[in-house]
Amino acid sequence: MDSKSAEPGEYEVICAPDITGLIAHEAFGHGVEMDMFVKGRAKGAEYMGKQVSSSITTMHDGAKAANHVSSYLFDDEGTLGSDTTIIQDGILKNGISDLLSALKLGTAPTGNGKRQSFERKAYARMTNTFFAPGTDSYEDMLASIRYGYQIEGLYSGMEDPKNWGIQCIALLGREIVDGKLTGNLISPVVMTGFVPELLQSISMVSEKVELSGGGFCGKGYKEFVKTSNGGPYIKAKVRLG
Amino acid sequence: MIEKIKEILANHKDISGYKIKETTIHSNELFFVKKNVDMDRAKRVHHYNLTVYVDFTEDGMNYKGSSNTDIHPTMNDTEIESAIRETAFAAKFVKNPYYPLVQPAESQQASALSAFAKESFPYWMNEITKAIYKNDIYEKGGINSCEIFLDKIETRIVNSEGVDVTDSGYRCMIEFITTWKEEGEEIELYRRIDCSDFDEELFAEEVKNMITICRERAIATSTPALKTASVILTREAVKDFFSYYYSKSNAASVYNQSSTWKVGDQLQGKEVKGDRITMTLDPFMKNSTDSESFDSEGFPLKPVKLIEDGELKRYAADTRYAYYLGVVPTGNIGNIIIESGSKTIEELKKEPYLMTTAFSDFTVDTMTGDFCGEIRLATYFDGRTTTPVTGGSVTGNINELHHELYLSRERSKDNNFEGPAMIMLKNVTVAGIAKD
Repeated sequence: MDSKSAEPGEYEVICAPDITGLIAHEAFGHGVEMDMFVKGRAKGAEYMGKQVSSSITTMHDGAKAANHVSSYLFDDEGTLGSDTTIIQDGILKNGISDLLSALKLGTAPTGNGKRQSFERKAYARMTNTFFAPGTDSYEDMLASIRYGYQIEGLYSGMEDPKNWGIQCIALLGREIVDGKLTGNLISPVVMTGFVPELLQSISMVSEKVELSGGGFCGKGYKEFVKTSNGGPYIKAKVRLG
Repeated sequence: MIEKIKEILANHKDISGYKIKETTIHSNELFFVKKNVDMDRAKRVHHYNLTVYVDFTEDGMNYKGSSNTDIHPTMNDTEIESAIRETAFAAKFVKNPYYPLVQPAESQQASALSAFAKESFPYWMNEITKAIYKNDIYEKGGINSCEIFLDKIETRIVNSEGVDVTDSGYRCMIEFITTWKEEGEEIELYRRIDCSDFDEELFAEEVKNMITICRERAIATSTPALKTASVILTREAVKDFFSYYYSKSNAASVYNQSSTWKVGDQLQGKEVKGDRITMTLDPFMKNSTDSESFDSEGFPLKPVKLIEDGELKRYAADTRYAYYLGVVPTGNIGNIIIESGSKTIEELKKEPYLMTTAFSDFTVDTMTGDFCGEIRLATYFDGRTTTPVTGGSVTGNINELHHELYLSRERSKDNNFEGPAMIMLKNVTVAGIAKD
């Protein structure tokens, strides 16, 4: 209730695990759903094997990659769930696919064919999507920021797989001055940017991964399925509004 | 099946009431990549959803517990009996204050007949496809992919008080991605159309609009760092903006204390510089997928004015929350009509503005009034020149801004919304990305 509006601008921020997960989900989760490759809708297809993120970042998706709400033995088409490394040390490595997109692209299906219910068609969808842990302590990350915010409380997000825009809305930003939380709050927090710039700006990654999420990931504005997202605390440079 | 469920329910003396909702959906679906059909599907599904109510008293308070379950068409008597027993057991743990169920009405107004009823599904899928691709004629851009869903939905609601109502309608959903490529990267944008009637002009024009918007985005420059600006909202954002007033004037929001609005409140404040809002809910709006004769409880619907000249006149309330607040129920109505404002679009554009055309996702927090969105395309007028811009975001709070908003005289319609085509808000925060 005491929060103020954010002064628009670029800031150094620490993203809490739920916001790290939101970035993973919107930035390179939807963008590597390989039915998007089939349609020519994913810029990621041109960047396979290329650097898309800071070299201290690794990102996974998979029913087998974590024990959470989208863990299963096999997907809605019968393909065994897997653990797909999407980004390895900053290099874009793999996409995630349902049967049809894998067939069309000549790749192995990754067990990501999911449908909203028996009434709907299967699409290539995310499962448990997260950034892997790093080596920095949260205390060191906090101490490294002269002026910025700690962003937390996932509200919503939207992907832009073709043009690599990103929109993440968080409930809260905690002001950081000279490495300490001041107790001042901003809300809501609208974080926007160009995906590679945002991911390249990740300079510190904490040691512990946390996942959260109970569902409601849509393909556009429909086909809602259960997914989880997460990661460690990350330090990055973002534009807030 | 309904009679069978009723017979089994009659044996459960611990159940105080019930509601059965029967839904049949007949659907055709087409999935396109570029202009080629990638997949076609058809379905006919039948759902029975049963809600059971259990009245009980605890510490002198009367409660109505409820729980619901799906009764599948293939279930036998033993399976239905088991499902009902488990649902009634669960209902006993739900401690909602007592409320009455909907009573039968003498009559209900029928929904308007859709053109979709006049021909077969394959005929209409063909007509919709032709309309959608009519303006996909450009060399540098067009439709990347498209999904078309056409559903016929038949609904029957029966309850223990004697309600037995039926209705049928159509739901057409068209989702498409348009692209445009100039010298740089190819640009894409998403659009979804929902409707209940065939409108060739709407489909064709909307595709043309989206291709035009893509072309503009392809040549757009970065949004300037304005800090604040007069922002003109257009298209879907206008509809999303008024979702705040719709939510806040709902009795459930008031009862749950997520709205503090009271009947008689001047919602935009006592000193309003711009236009005052007038909002009506109309359950019989043409070409809306939310038009229906009765709500999900079987309550018969009719148009109702909630806000007039900025003053809250009454709450929108289903039977339960109307009983809780002691007001007359309106039923749940999904169609919103907003009266036009005082200025033409030309008049709104006389001073510098940032006019938004497409957001990544325009979000309105219906509890706090906060709104925000990343700009995919906007037009910036600095008082001399007009420039297409992209990137950055707009943020604001409706409570802090609606004492001075201007609604266009021109109108637009988008499925369950009919109202001014544009809204101008003053002093909206704009996080631009241009370096200068």
